[in-house]
Amino acid sequence: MADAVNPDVQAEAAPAPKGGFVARALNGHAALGLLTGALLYLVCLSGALAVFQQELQRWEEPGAAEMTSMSPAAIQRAIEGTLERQGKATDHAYVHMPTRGLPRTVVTTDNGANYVDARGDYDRPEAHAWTQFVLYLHYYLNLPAFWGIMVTGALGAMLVAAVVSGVLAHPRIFRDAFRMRLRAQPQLARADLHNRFGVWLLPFIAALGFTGAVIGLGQLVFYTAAQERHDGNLEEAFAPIFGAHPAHNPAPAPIARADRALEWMAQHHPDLFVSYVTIEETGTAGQQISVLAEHPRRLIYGENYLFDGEGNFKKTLGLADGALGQQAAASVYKLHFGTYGGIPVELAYLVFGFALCAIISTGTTLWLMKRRAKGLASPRLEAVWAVTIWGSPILMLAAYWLRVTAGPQLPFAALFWSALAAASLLAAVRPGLAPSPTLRRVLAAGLALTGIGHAVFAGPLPFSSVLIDAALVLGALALLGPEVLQLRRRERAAEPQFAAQG
Amino acid sequence: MGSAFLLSTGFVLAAGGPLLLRIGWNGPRPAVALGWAALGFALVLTLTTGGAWGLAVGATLASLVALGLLAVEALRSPAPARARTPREPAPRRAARPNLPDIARRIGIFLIVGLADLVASLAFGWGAQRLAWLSGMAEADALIVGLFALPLCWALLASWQLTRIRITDMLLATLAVAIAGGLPWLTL
Repeated sequence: MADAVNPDVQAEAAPAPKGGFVARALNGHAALGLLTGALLYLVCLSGALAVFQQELQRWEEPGAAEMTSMSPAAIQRAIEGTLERQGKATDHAYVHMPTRGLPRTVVTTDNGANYVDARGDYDRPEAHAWTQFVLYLHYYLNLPAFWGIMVTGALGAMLVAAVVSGVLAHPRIFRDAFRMRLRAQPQLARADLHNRFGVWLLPFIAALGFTGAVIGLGQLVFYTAAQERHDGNLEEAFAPIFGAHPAHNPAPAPIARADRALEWMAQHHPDLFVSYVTIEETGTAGQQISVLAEHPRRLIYGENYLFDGEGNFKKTLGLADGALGQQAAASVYKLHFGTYGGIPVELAYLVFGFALCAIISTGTTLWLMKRRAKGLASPRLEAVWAVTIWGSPILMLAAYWLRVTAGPQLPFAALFWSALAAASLLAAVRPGLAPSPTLRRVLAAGLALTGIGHAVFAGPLPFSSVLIDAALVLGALALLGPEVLQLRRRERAAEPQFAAQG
Repeated sequence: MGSAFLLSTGFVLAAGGPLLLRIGWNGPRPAVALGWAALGFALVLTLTTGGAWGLAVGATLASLVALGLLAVEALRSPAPARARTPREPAPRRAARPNLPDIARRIGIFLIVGLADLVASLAFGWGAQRLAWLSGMAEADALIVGLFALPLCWALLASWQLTRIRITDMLLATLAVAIAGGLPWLTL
């Protein structure tokens, strides 16, 4: 594989890549990039957007009832009302409490999800199909959950490997620490961008890859634990970290008193922010209420406060102060999604995420440019790569407009992947059809139209949605900016000649 | 109060570290030492007063400042006096991959992509089993396995991709699989 990076080595009849350690590390780094680049790019692009998943859901579905808080009585009413309305038994019932990013209350059961208003009355079904498509692209690459998370977990491990091999392949890491010649020749500019971003974002990329790999590949460790120690029972394998399922007692019982649990929380932990309420074994004598409360200045996603069906406090799960393993496992998610420091850290993660996309994109582009410089141009590969980089966000925008015009029930994932496959095939067959600059302009136009179109047609919008629309337009300008500047430079350079001719 | 002050100091040092490194880069060398010292102190202060959260926020700050400095550097970088299109060499035909070469590439893919995963799983599971048998709480032992698996895979793949001979790669995979598999199978 290593010589896939540098075909000349192989073309010159060497059986395997040779050279010093740095050269071999570079070959290995390039091989990892080539092998994983396209999928990694899609995961990172959707991951950068996933940082603002709550804001995106609000942006996608304007008009749902909003509130900054809910009374315990309203939450109880919301749960009971939703269960009565659905008229079907459910094992789990979840309540998403109003948060900064999504100031809405969502009740989800095994039979569906809906928004409720501030009194706890039904508002409308939750239908954030596009946001969910983007999220599932990040979590699973839209594959079935188990295999999908395994693939994304493996990509996380390969990202860490790319960080290690990248450092090994970069002996002038400190000497070049701030060299950023973005206006130099294209190959040099891309090499600087790839290397500098890679070096300065090293802690972020390593943390992102590692936590992604832990989340994805962790399934395997739990499966093995289940096989060896718990007779194949996966729930029992998860229990030491994430808690045990309540004892099964199917005797019918009134719906669990989440209101009492929330009152207890307000009385005993007024400083904690409750983000989620879960009822397990709903409507049975064995039901249990779990209230997830965020602990400030902690990486853990929260602590679970457990109550019985009557709303009497039982214990905490121990994510905040239990075994170190529990605390470490609970800290992986916020570190991965950048939700540990409010808006500033989330914005930083958005920037870092796009920078990582640029690193991945320039990595393969550099490899293609080097091939071209050696007389081994691969126009088909170049075209397919351009479709991956610029075409995938264009198709994500197209999926959004499909969502707006045709409704949330469409199979967005199937449509996205089919279109991406068809576009890649077309690019391979007719490489000159849509070159990279054209695709970039189409993306810029799509971003601007989406931002403006959403702002105009989506009705009165909350501030966060207006900001997203503005960011889309700014994104379009940022994509076109370098091109416009270059054009102006060329015009300026041509002016004296015209003057002389005139 | 004291802890908040120390944490804030850690954040300021985390933000100042890259700034000092930039000043020292092609400039006064003591600034480089000061930059590294600032980052070192930031690491200690954020970790001791803010725990993992403090360290994460500090690292985010440092990375953000560094990206800002890179943006400034990019804006300052001189444009080429005259944009010249680099002359492209005459196209030449890439050698057709032969069967042994294709087999070798597939072999490396299978080693790095599949065999390493199995070996790392054995290593991760073996490590967690050792931890559990040595008296660790089950949650702690599980986290050993959870962290060891991806870390082992990433390091193994990084090292293997610097090797020339496929047998070296295979031996590394085997060594890791045995190191993990033995405690798994025997204890």
